[in-house]
Amino acid sequence: MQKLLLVLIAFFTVNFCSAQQPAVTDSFAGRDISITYSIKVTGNKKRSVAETYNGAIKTLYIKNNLAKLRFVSLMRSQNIYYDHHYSDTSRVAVVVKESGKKRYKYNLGIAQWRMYNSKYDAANTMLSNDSMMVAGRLCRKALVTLTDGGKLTVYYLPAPAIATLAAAEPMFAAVPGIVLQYELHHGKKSIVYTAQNISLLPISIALMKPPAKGYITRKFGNGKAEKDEMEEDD
Amino acid sequence: MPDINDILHSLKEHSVLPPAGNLETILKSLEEIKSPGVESNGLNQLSRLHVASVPPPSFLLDNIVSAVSSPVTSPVVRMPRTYLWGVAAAVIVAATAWGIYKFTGTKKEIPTELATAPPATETRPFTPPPVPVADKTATAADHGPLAGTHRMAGKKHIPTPVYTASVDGYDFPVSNNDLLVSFASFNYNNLPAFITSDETAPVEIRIDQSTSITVSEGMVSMMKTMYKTKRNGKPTFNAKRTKKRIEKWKASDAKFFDKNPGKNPMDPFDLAEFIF
Repeated sequence: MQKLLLVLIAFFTVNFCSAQQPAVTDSFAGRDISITYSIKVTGNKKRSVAETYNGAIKTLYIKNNLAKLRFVSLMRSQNIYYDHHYSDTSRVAVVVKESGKKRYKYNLGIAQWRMYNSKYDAANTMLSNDSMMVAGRLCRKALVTLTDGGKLTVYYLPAPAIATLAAAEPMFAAVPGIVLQYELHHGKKSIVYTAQNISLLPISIALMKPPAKGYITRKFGNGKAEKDEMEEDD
Repeated sequence: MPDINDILHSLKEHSVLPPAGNLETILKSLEEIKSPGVESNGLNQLSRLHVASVPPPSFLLDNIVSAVSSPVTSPVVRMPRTYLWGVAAAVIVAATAWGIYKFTGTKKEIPTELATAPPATETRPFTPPPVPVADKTATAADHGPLAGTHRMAGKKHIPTPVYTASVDGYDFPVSNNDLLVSFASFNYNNLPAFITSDETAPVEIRIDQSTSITVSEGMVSMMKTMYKTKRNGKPTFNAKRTKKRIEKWKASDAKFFDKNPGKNPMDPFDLAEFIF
Protein backbone atom coordinates (compact mmCIF):
# COMPACT_ATOMS: atom_id res chain seq x y z
CA MET A 1 0.00 0.00 0.00
CA GLN A 2 2.81 2.36 0.88
CA LYS A 3 4.60 1.43 -2.31
CA LEU A 4 1.47 2.13 -4.33
CA LEU A 5 1.12 5.46 -2.63
CA LEU A 6 4.72 6.37 -3.41
CA VAL A 7 4.26 5.40 -7.05
CA LEU A 8 1.11 7.52 -7.31
CA ILE A 9 2.83 10.51 -5.71
CA ALA A 10 5.82 10.18 -8.05
CA PHE A 11 3.51 9.87 -11.03
CA PHE A 12 1.59 13.02 -10.24
CA THR A 13 4.76 14.92 -9.38
CA VAL A 14 6.35 14.09 -12.70
CA ASN A 15 3.19 15.09 -14.53
CA PHE A 16 3.01 18.32 -12.59
CA CYS A 17 6.61 19.22 -13.40
CA SER A 18 6.16 18.37 -17.03
CA ALA A 19 3.16 20.62 -17.24
CA GLN A 20 5.32 23.56 -16.07
CA GLN A 21 7.87 23.19 -18.90
CA PRO A 22 7.34 25.62 -21.72
CA ALA A 23 5.89 24.03 -24.79
CA VAL A 24 7.59 24.45 -28.09
CA THR A 25 5.80 27.21 -29.93
CA ASP A 26 5.35 27.32 -33.65
CA SER A 27 3.81 30.76 -33.78
CA PHE A 28 6.96 32.45 -35.07
CA ALA A 29 7.48 30.17 -38.07
CA GLY A 30 7.23 31.97 -41.38
CA ARG A 31 6.23 35.26 -39.77
CA ASP A 32 7.89 38.65 -39.60
CA ILE A 33 9.28 39.06 -36.09
CA SER A 34 10.01 42.25 -34.16
CA ILE A 35 11.35 41.99 -30.63
CA THR A 36 12.36 45.03 -28.61
CA TYR A 37 14.68 44.51 -25.67
CA SER A 38 15.27 47.02 -22.93
CA ILE A 39 18.83 47.15 -21.65
CA LYS A 40 19.46 47.59 -17.98
CA VAL A 41 22.98 48.28 -16.85
CA THR A 42 23.98 47.99 -13.22
CA GLY A 43 27.37 49.43 -12.46
CA ASN A 44 29.41 50.40 -9.44
CA LYS A 45 28.65 54.07 -9.59
CA LYS A 46 25.52 55.97 -10.43
CA ARG A 47 27.52 58.52 -12.37
CA SER A 48 29.61 56.56 -14.80
CA VAL A 49 29.82 56.00 -18.52
CA ALA A 50 27.75 52.87 -17.97
CA GLU A 51 24.76 55.10 -17.30
CA THR A 52 24.85 56.39 -20.87
CA TYR A 53 23.93 52.88 -22.00
CA ASN A 54 21.52 52.18 -19.17
CA GLY A 55 17.96 52.35 -20.47
CA ALA A 56 18.96 51.75 -24.09
CA ILE A 57 16.95 49.54 -26.40
CA LYS A 58 17.82 46.87 -28.90
CA THR A 59 15.30 45.81 -31.52
CA LEU A 60 15.50 42.64 -33.57
CA TYR A 61 13.68 42.45 -36.90
CA ILE A 62 13.39 39.26 -38.92
CA LYS A 63 11.77 39.18 -42.35
CA ASN A 64 12.36 36.09 -44.46
CA ASN A 65 16.11 35.96 -45.05
CA LEU A 66 16.73 39.45 -43.80
CA ALA A 67 17.57 40.49 -40.27
CA LYS A 68 18.13 43.85 -38.69
CA LEU A 69 19.49 44.69 -35.28
CA ARG A 70 18.86 48.20 -34.12
CA PHE A 71 20.52 49.76 -31.10
CA VAL A 72 19.53 53.13 -29.64
CA SER A 73 21.10 54.61 -26.53
CA LEU A 74 22.00 58.03 -25.15
CA MET A 75 25.58 57.51 -26.22
CA ARG A 76 25.10 56.16 -29.76
CA SER A 77 22.75 54.58 -32.28
CA GLN A 78 23.88 51.71 -34.47
CA ASN A 79 22.26 49.19 -36.83
CA ILE A 80 23.31 45.88 -38.33
CA TYR A 81 21.66 44.67 -41.51
CA TYR A 82 22.10 41.00 -42.31
CA ASP A 83 21.19 39.15 -45.49
CA HIS A 84 21.10 35.39 -45.05
CA HIS A 85 20.27 34.90 -48.69
CA TYR A 86 23.83 36.01 -49.55
CA SER A 87 22.64 37.93 -52.57
CA ASP A 88 25.93 39.78 -52.45
CA THR A 89 28.65 37.68 -50.79
CA SER A 90 30.85 40.73 -50.38
CA ARG A 91 28.13 42.33 -48.32
CA VAL A 92 26.27 39.82 -46.20
CA ALA A 93 26.17 42.25 -43.31
CA VAL A 94 26.30 46.01 -43.12
CA VAL A 95 27.18 47.69 -39.84
CA VAL A 96 25.94 51.27 -39.79
CA LYS A 97 26.70 53.91 -37.22
CA GLU A 98 23.67 56.17 -37.20
CA SER A 99 24.62 58.80 -34.64
CA GLY A 100 27.20 61.54 -34.48
CA LYS A 101 28.54 63.93 -37.05
CA LYS A 102 30.60 61.27 -38.81
CA ARG A 103 28.20 58.54 -39.77
CA TYR A 104 29.76 55.54 -41.41
CA LYS A 105 29.11 51.96 -42.44
CA TYR A 106 31.09 48.77 -42.91
CA ASN A 107 30.29 46.18 -45.53
CA LEU A 108 31.16 42.73 -44.25
CA GLY A 109 31.59 39.70 -46.47
CA ILE A 110 31.08 36.15 -45.30
CA ALA A 111 34.55 35.79 -43.81
CA GLN A 112 34.43 39.20 -42.19
CA TRP A 113 31.03 38.51 -40.65
CA ARG A 114 32.49 35.34 -39.19
CA MET A 115 35.42 37.36 -37.85
CA TYR A 116 33.01 39.91 -36.37
CA ASN A 117 31.41 37.11 -34.34
CA SER A 118 34.51 35.01 -33.85
CA LYS A 119 34.20 34.93 -30.05
CA TYR A 120 31.14 32.67 -30.42
CA ASP A 121 32.77 30.14 -32.75
CA ALA A 122 33.71 27.80 -29.93
CA ALA A 123 31.07 28.88 -27.43
CA ASN A 124 29.40 26.17 -25.39
CA THR A 125 25.64 26.29 -24.89
CA MET A 126 24.26 24.31 -21.98
CA LEU A 127 20.52 23.92 -21.64
CA SER A 128 18.88 23.91 -18.26
CA ASN A 129 15.52 22.82 -16.93
CA ASP A 130 15.05 26.09 -15.12
CA SER A 131 12.39 28.39 -16.40
CA MET A 132 11.19 31.93 -15.90
CA MET A 133 8.38 34.15 -17.12
CA VAL A 134 9.57 36.81 -19.54
CA ALA A 135 7.20 39.18 -21.33
CA GLY A 136 4.30 36.99 -20.24
CA ARG A 137 5.80 33.84 -21.74
CA LEU A 138 7.33 30.91 -19.99
CA CYS A 139 10.94 30.57 -21.02
CA ARG A 140 13.66 28.02 -20.44
CA LYS A 141 17.15 28.79 -19.29
CA ALA A 142 20.44 28.19 -21.08
CA LEU A 143 24.01 29.15 -20.36
CA VAL A 144 26.36 30.27 -23.11
CA THR A 145 30.01 30.04 -22.11
CA LEU A 146 32.85 31.45 -24.16
CA THR A 147 36.32 30.04 -24.41
CA ASP A 148 37.68 32.88 -22.26
CA GLY A 149 35.21 31.97 -19.51
CA GLY A 150 32.66 34.69 -20.21
CA LYS A 151 29.13 33.52 -19.36
CA LEU A 152 25.81 34.64 -20.74
CA THR A 153 22.60 33.51 -19.07
CA VAL A 154 19.82 33.13 -21.61
CA TYR A 155 16.06 32.66 -21.24
CA TYR A 156 14.41 31.49 -24.42
CA LEU A 157 11.00 30.55 -25.72
CA PRO A 158 11.34 27.09 -27.19
CA ALA A 159 10.64 27.28 -30.89
CA PRO A 160 11.82 25.70 -34.10
CA ALA A 161 15.14 27.04 -35.23
CA ILE A 162 15.08 30.08 -37.49
CA ALA A 163 18.17 30.02 -39.70
CA THR A 164 18.25 33.75 -40.32
CA LEU A 165 18.03 34.48 -36.63
CA ALA A 166 20.80 32.02 -35.75
CA ALA A 167 23.05 33.55 -38.41
CA ALA A 168 22.28 37.14 -37.46
CA GLU A 169 22.97 36.50 -33.77
CA PRO A 170 25.56 33.73 -33.62
CA MET A 171 25.74 33.95 -29.82
CA PHE A 172 22.30 32.27 -29.80
CA ALA A 173 22.95 29.90 -32.68
CA ALA A 174 22.79 26.85 -30.41
CA VAL A 175 19.79 28.05 -28.39
CA PRO A 176 16.69 26.09 -29.46
CA GLY A 177 14.21 28.93 -29.53
CA ILE A 178 13.56 32.66 -29.44
CA VAL A 179 15.67 34.44 -26.83
CA LEU A 180 13.60 36.81 -24.72
CA GLN A 181 16.13 37.65 -22.04
CA TYR A 182 19.87 37.37 -21.67
CA GLU A 183 22.17 38.73 -19.06
CA LEU A 184 25.84 39.11 -18.37
CA HIS A 185 27.16 39.40 -14.84
CA HIS A 186 30.50 40.87 -13.94
CA GLY A 187 30.74 40.61 -10.19
CA LYS A 188 28.14 43.00 -8.86
CA LYS A 189 27.83 44.64 -12.26
CA SER A 190 25.46 43.37 -14.89
CA ILE A 191 23.86 44.02 -18.26
CA VAL A 192 20.39 42.57 -18.75
CA TYR A 193 18.52 42.53 -22.05
CA THR A 194 14.80 41.89 -21.54
CA ALA A 195 12.16 41.61 -24.24
CA GLN A 196 9.50 44.25 -23.73
CA ASN A 197 7.54 43.97 -26.93
CA ILE A 198 7.09 41.05 -29.30
CA SER A 199 5.32 41.67 -32.57
CA LEU A 200 4.49 39.44 -35.49
CA LEU A 201 3.07 42.22 -37.65
CA PRO A 202 4.39 42.60 -41.19
CA ILE A 203 7.57 44.61 -41.53
CA SER A 204 8.24 46.95 -44.42
CA ILE A 205 11.01 45.77 -46.71
CA ALA A 206 12.37 49.31 -46.79
CA LEU A 207 13.13 49.04 -43.09
CA MET A 208 15.34 46.04 -43.73
CA LYS A 209 17.53 47.66 -46.36
CA PRO A 210 20.74 49.41 -45.34
CA PRO A 211 21.03 53.07 -46.28
CA ALA A 212 22.61 53.79 -49.63
CA LYS A 213 23.57 57.42 -49.26
CA GLY A 214 24.88 59.77 -46.66
CA TYR A 215 27.43 57.52 -45.01
CA ILE A 216 31.16 57.11 -45.28
CA THR A 217 32.01 53.55 -46.25
CA ARG A 218 34.93 52.30 -44.21
CA LYS A 219 37.02 49.23 -44.76
CA PHE A 220 36.51 46.59 -42.13
CA GLY A 221 39.88 44.97 -42.68
CA ASN A 222 40.90 42.88 -39.71
CA GLY A 223 38.47 44.51 -37.40
CA LYS A 224 40.66 47.54 -36.83
CA ALA A 225 39.87 50.84 -38.47
CA GLU A 226 42.09 51.67 -41.40
CA LYS A 227 43.20 55.10 -42.47
CA ASP A 228 41.58 54.90 -45.89
CA GLU A 229 38.02 56.10 -45.98
CA MET A 230 36.09 55.64 -49.14
CA GLU A 231 33.90 58.26 -50.62
CA GLU A 232 30.28 58.15 -49.66
CA ASP A 233 28.00 56.14 -51.86
CA ASP A 234 26.29 57.94 -54.72
CA MET B 1 100.75 132.99 -2.19
CA PRO B 2 97.83 134.58 -3.98
CA ASP B 3 94.71 132.32 -4.58
CA ILE B 4 94.52 130.94 -8.13
CA ASN B 5 90.74 131.38 -8.18
CA ASP B 6 91.13 135.06 -7.54
CA ILE B 7 93.63 135.32 -10.37
CA LEU B 8 91.27 133.57 -12.83
CA HIS B 9 88.35 135.67 -11.69
CA SER B 10 90.39 138.80 -12.32
CA LEU B 11 91.44 137.54 -15.74
CA LYS B 12 87.78 137.07 -16.71
CA GLU B 13 87.19 140.77 -16.25
CA HIS B 14 90.38 141.73 -17.93
CA SER B 15 90.05 143.36 -21.37
CA VAL B 16 92.45 144.96 -23.82
CA LEU B 17 91.29 147.67 -26.21
CA PRO B 18 92.18 147.31 -29.90
CA PRO B 19 94.76 149.69 -31.25
CA ALA B 20 93.36 153.10 -32.08
CA GLY B 21 92.33 153.66 -35.71
CA ASN B 22 91.59 149.98 -36.50
CA LEU B 23 87.87 150.52 -36.90
CA GLU B 24 88.30 153.45 -39.31
CA THR B 25 90.74 151.40 -41.37
CA ILE B 26 88.22 148.53 -41.70
CA LEU B 27 85.39 150.86 -42.70
CA LYS B 28 87.56 152.53 -45.31
CA SER B 29 88.42 149.14 -46.76
CA LEU B 30 84.75 148.21 -47.01
CA GLU B 31 83.85 151.44 -48.72
CA GLU B 32 86.58 150.98 -51.27
CA ILE B 33 85.31 147.53 -52.12
CA LYS B 34 81.78 148.75 -52.62
CA SER B 35 82.38 152.04 -54.30
CA PRO B 36 86.01 152.72 -54.87
CA GLY B 37 87.08 156.30 -54.61
CA VAL B 38 83.99 157.46 -52.80
CA GLU B 39 84.45 158.58 -49.32
CA SER B 40 81.41 158.22 -47.08
CA ASN B 41 80.45 157.62 -43.57
CA GLY B 42 80.93 153.80 -43.04
CA LEU B 43 78.47 153.57 -40.20
CA ASN B 44 75.65 155.13 -42.22
CA GLN B 45 76.30 152.68 -45.09
CA LEU B 46 76.02 149.73 -42.75
CA SER B 47 72.89 151.03 -41.14
CA ARG B 48 71.16 151.33 -44.51
CA LEU B 49 71.99 147.72 -45.50
CA HIS B 50 68.91 146.31 -43.80
CA VAL B 51 66.60 148.22 -46.17
CA ALA B 52 68.60 147.35 -49.28
CA SER B 53 66.84 144.93 -51.71
CA VAL B 54 67.96 142.82 -54.64
CA PRO B 55 65.44 142.37 -57.50
CA PRO B 56 64.85 138.67 -58.67
CA PRO B 57 65.88 137.50 -62.14
CA SER B 58 63.32 138.47 -64.80
CA PHE B 59 62.75 134.85 -66.06
CA LEU B 60 61.48 133.81 -62.66
CA LEU B 61 58.81 136.42 -62.67
CA ASP B 62 57.71 135.46 -66.17
CA ASN B 63 57.34 131.81 -65.14
CA ILE B 64 55.25 132.62 -62.11
CA VAL B 65 52.93 134.88 -64.07
CA SER B 66 52.40 132.31 -66.82
CA ALA B 67 51.67 129.55 -64.29
CA VAL B 68 49.02 131.56 -62.49
CA SER B 69 47.26 132.83 -65.55
CA SER B 70 47.05 129.52 -67.63
CA PRO B 71 43.93 127.14 -67.17
CA VAL B 72 44.48 124.09 -64.83
CA THR B 73 43.65 120.62 -66.21
CA SER B 74 42.96 118.23 -63.23
CA PRO B 75 43.46 114.45 -63.73
CA VAL B 76 40.48 113.73 -61.45
CA VAL B 77 37.20 113.18 -63.27
CA ARG B 78 34.51 115.20 -61.75
CA MET B 79 31.30 113.26 -61.18
CA PRO B 80 28.02 114.83 -61.94
CA ARG B 81 25.96 115.65 -58.92
CA THR B 82 23.23 113.12 -59.78
CA TYR B 83 25.70 110.26 -59.68
CA LEU B 84 26.97 111.38 -56.34
CA TRP B 85 23.49 111.22 -54.90
CA GLY B 86 23.02 107.74 -56.38
CA VAL B 87 26.21 106.40 -54.85
CA ALA B 88 25.33 107.85 -51.48
CA ALA B 89 21.86 106.29 -51.64
CA ALA B 90 23.31 102.87 -52.51
CA VAL B 91 25.72 103.03 -49.61
CA ILE B 92 22.92 103.93 -47.23
CA VAL B 93 20.72 101.09 -48.47
CA ALA B 94 23.55 98.56 -48.17
CA ALA B 95 24.37 99.70 -44.66
CA THR B 96 20.72 99.48 -43.66
CA ALA B 97 20.37 95.98 -45.09
CA TRP B 98 23.49 94.84 -43.29
CA GLY B 99 22.25 96.31 -40.07
CA ILE B 100 18.89 94.57 -40.42
CA TYR B 101 20.58 91.25 -41.17
CA LYS B 102 23.02 91.60 -38.33
CA PHE B 103 20.67 92.56 -35.57
CA THR B 104 17.42 90.92 -36.44
CA GLY B 105 18.48 87.55 -37.96
CA THR B 106 17.23 84.53 -35.93
CA LYS B 107 19.45 81.74 -34.81
CA LYS B 108 18.62 78.09 -35.22
CA GLU B 109 18.39 76.10 -32.08
CA ILE B 110 19.92 72.98 -33.51
CA PRO B 111 22.56 71.82 -31.02
CA THR B 112 25.93 70.88 -32.38
CA GLU B 113 28.15 70.29 -29.35
CA LEU B 114 27.67 70.49 -25.65
CA ALA B 115 26.65 73.99 -24.59
CA THR B 116 29.45 76.10 -23.06
CA ALA B 117 27.49 79.01 -21.62
CA PRO B 118 23.90 80.01 -21.29
CA PRO B 119 22.70 82.06 -24.25
CA ALA B 120 22.07 85.70 -23.64
CA THR B 121 18.74 85.74 -25.43
CA GLU B 122 16.03 83.18 -25.77
CA THR B 123 15.97 81.48 -29.15
CA ARG B 124 12.93 80.61 -31.13
CA PRO B 125 11.60 77.08 -30.63
CA PHE B 126 12.90 74.69 -33.22
CA THR B 127 10.32 73.49 -35.73
CA PRO B 128 11.55 70.42 -37.58
CA PRO B 129 10.23 69.62 -41.03
CA PRO B 130 7.49 66.98 -41.21
CA VAL B 131 8.65 63.39 -41.17
CA PRO B 132 7.72 61.56 -44.35
CA VAL B 133 5.61 58.69 -43.09
CA ALA B 134 5.97 56.04 -45.72
CA ASP B 135 6.05 53.17 -43.28
CA LYS B 136 4.54 52.89 -39.86
CA THR B 137 7.34 50.69 -38.63
CA ALA B 138 10.04 53.05 -39.87
CA THR B 139 11.44 55.21 -37.14
CA ALA B 140 13.11 58.54 -37.19
CA ALA B 141 16.42 57.02 -36.13
CA ASP B 142 16.51 54.49 -38.95
CA HIS B 143 17.12 56.27 -42.21
CA GLY B 144 17.42 59.31 -43.92
CA PRO B 145 18.00 62.85 -43.72
CA LEU B 146 15.13 65.09 -42.96
CA ALA B 147 16.50 68.60 -42.90
CA GLY B 148 19.61 70.61 -42.59
CA THR B 149 22.98 69.90 -44.10
CA HIS B 150 26.52 69.82 -43.01
CA ARG B 151 29.58 69.98 -45.18
CA MET B 152 32.35 67.44 -44.93
CA ALA B 153 35.75 68.68 -45.93
CA GLY B 154 36.20 68.27 -49.63
CA LYS B 155 32.99 66.27 -50.02
CA LYS B 156 29.52 67.10 -51.15
CA HIS B 157 26.74 68.02 -48.79
CA ILE B 158 25.42 65.24 -46.64
CA PRO B 159 22.00 65.87 -45.21
CA THR B 160 22.03 65.90 -41.41
CA PRO B 161 19.23 63.97 -39.83
CA VAL B 162 17.17 66.10 -37.53
CA TYR B 163 14.04 64.97 -35.78
CA THR B 164 12.15 65.85 -32.68
CA ALA B 165 12.18 63.79 -29.56
CA SER B 166 10.23 64.48 -26.44
CA VAL B 167 10.76 63.98 -22.75
CA ASP B 168 8.02 64.66 -20.27
CA GLY B 169 6.09 66.49 -22.94
CA TYR B 170 9.04 68.73 -23.74
CA ASP B 171 10.00 68.57 -27.40
CA PHE B 172 13.60 69.06 -28.40
CA PRO B 173 15.46 68.65 -31.67
CA VAL B 174 17.87 65.77 -32.04
CA SER B 175 20.65 66.56 -34.43
CA ASN B 176 22.86 63.91 -35.97
CA ASN B 177 20.86 61.24 -34.14
CA ASP B 178 23.00 62.09 -31.14
CA LEU B 179 20.74 61.98 -28.12
CA LEU B 180 23.44 62.67 -25.54
CA VAL B 181 24.68 65.81 -27.28
CA SER B 182 21.15 67.00 -27.96
CA PHE B 183 20.16 66.22 -24.38
CA ALA B 184 23.01 68.32 -23.10
CA SER B 185 22.23 71.29 -25.33
CA PHE B 186 18.95 72.53 -23.96
CA ASN B 187 18.22 76.23 -23.87
CA TYR B 188 19.04 77.50 -20.39
CA ASN B 189 16.04 79.80 -20.52
CA ASN B 190 13.70 76.95 -21.38
CA LEU B 191 14.75 73.80 -19.53
CA PRO B 192 12.47 70.78 -19.31
CA ALA B 193 10.71 70.08 -16.03
CA PHE B 194 12.73 67.02 -15.11
CA ILE B 195 15.89 69.13 -14.94
CA THR B 196 14.43 71.95 -12.91
CA SER B 197 12.52 69.71 -10.51
CA ASP B 198 14.00 68.26 -7.35
CA GLU B 199 13.36 64.64 -8.29
CA THR B 200 15.93 62.42 -9.95
CA ALA B 201 13.60 59.67 -11.11
CA PRO B 202 14.36 58.08 -14.50
CA VAL B 203 12.65 59.70 -17.44
CA GLU B 204 11.61 58.36 -20.79
CA ILE B 205 12.69 59.90 -24.09
CA ARG B 206 10.14 59.32 -26.80
CA ILE B 207 12.03 59.12 -30.07
CA ASP B 208 9.16 58.13 -32.30
CA GLN B 209 5.81 56.46 -32.00
CA SER B 210 7.33 53.04 -31.45
CA THR B 211 10.66 53.82 -29.83
CA SER B 212 11.57 55.20 -26.46
CA ILE B 213 14.61 54.89 -24.28
CA THR B 214 15.02 55.53 -20.58
CA VAL B 215 17.38 58.00 -19.02
CA SER B 216 18.59 56.49 -15.79
CA GLU B 217 18.48 58.15 -12.41
CA GLY B 218 22.22 58.62 -12.50
CA MET B 219 22.08 60.42 -15.85
CA VAL B 220 19.17 62.59 -14.75
CA SER B 221 21.20 63.61 -11.74
CA MET B 222 24.14 64.48 -13.98
CA MET B 223 21.96 66.54 -16.28
CA LYS B 224 20.66 68.52 -13.34
CA THR B 225 24.19 69.23 -12.22
CA MET B 226 25.23 70.21 -15.73
CA TYR B 227 22.55 72.87 -16.00
CA LYS B 228 23.18 74.51 -12.64
CA THR B 229 24.08 78.18 -12.93
CA LYS B 230 25.42 80.88 -10.67
CA ARG B 231 23.62 84.10 -9.89
CA ASN B 232 25.19 85.74 -12.91
CA GLY B 233 23.74 83.04 -15.14
CA LYS B 234 27.02 81.30 -15.89
CA PRO B 235 27.51 77.57 -15.30
CA THR B 236 28.83 76.55 -11.92
CA PHE B 237 32.16 74.81 -11.45
CA ASN B 238 30.44 71.45 -11.01
CA ALA B 239 28.38 72.08 -14.14
CA LYS B 240 31.49 72.63 -16.21
CA ARG B 241 33.18 69.62 -14.67
CA THR B 242 30.19 67.41 -15.44
CA LYS B 243 30.11 68.61 -19.00
CA LYS B 244 33.80 67.86 -19.43
CA ARG B 245 33.27 64.40 -18.02
CA ILE B 246 30.52 63.67 -20.53
CA GLU B 247 32.74 64.92 -23.33
CA LYS B 248 35.45 62.53 -22.17
CA TRP B 249 32.98 59.68 -22.23
CA LYS B 250 32.02 60.54 -25.79
CA ALA B 251 35.65 60.50 -26.80
CA SER B 252 36.26 57.18 -25.04
CA ASP B 253 33.22 55.64 -26.69
CA ALA B 254 34.38 56.78 -30.11
CA LYS B 255 37.86 55.47 -29.45
CA PHE B 256 36.62 52.07 -28.36
CA PHE B 257 33.88 51.40 -30.89
CA ASP B 258 34.72 53.62 -33.86
CA LYS B 259 38.43 52.88 -33.91
CA ASN B 260 37.79 49.17 -33.51
CA PRO B 261 35.09 48.11 -35.97
CA GLY B 262 35.26 44.58 -34.57
CA LYS B 263 33.70 45.87 -31.35
CA ASN B 264 29.92 45.83 -31.26
CA PRO B 265 28.03 47.93 -28.69
CA MET B 266 25.06 45.55 -29.05
CA ASP B 267 27.22 42.64 -27.94
CA PRO B 268 27.05 42.25 -24.15
CA PHE B 269 30.68 41.17 -23.86
CA ASP B 270 32.02 44.09 -25.92
CA LEU B 271 29.78 46.53 -24.09
CA ALA B 272 30.85 45.16 -20.71
CA GLU B 273 34.49 45.46 -21.74
CA PHE B 274 33.97 49.15 -22.41
CA ILE B 275 31.71 50.24 -19.56
CA PHE B 276 33.08 48.03 -16.81
